[in-house]
Amino acid sequence: MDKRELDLFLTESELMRVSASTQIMAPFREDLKKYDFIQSAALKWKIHGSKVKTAGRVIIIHTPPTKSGKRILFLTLEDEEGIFDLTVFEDVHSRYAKKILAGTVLLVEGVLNRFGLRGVSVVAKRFWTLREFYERLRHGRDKGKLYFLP
Amino acid sequence: MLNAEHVGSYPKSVILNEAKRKGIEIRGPHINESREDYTAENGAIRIGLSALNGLGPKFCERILRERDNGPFTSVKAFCLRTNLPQKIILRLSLAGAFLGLPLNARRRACG
Repeated sequence: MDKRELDLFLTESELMRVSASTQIMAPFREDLKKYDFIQSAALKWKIHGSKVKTAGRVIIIHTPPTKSGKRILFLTLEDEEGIFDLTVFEDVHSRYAKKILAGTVLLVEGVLNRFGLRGVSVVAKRFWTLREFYERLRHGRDKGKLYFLP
Repeated sequence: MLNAEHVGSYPKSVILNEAKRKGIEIRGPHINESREDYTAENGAIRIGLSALNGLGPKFCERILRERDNGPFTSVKAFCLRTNLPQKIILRLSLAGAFLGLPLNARRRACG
């Protein structure tokens, strides 16, 4: 974790409500890269159906009504390289609702869904918070490896 | 867009980050350059004084009114002319609003 960058972000956000110098994900990027969390720009190059791990700051959460009556969450997340969309179906968000609705930053594992010419969205399967990520790292659980995917 | 009260669903930080990604420079608030709101400045975006927490419209107006009489030449001159609370001066200082200004113009002049 880049503490200097994190301090800069927190100071600017506390002073101005916005950070002009850095994005919230930047201080954590090195650690996230080690565990194959990719950025939004890289998502565009992944093939349909591939398993991906990504992370970002939650910008918007939509829960529009659906024909079937099932509740689907559409999230927009932002990282240093841009914004991207997540789709969370009922079976997943019933398990992770607290993390999704309360979290500022989310770590996600899911399946990439391509639509149209450029449309990309991640169908989320699992969520972690940054705290959980760093707790795992600190306690050396999984012997230094994070088994996010089978 | 940044000065609109409600821009679609995107917060200002996202718009600023997107501007940065498009290569637009984001300049911090400055007592001699910033207006009350966000402004375009030679192809860059200058953050307005009102973006600072605690700096309400009254304080912004006081700074801008004083600046109309001439730019601030030092931090001391700023404090004397605007008579703002110390807390606000500290916030401005932390946000880099005094960058390039000497603490005291006379001290600089004396070398």
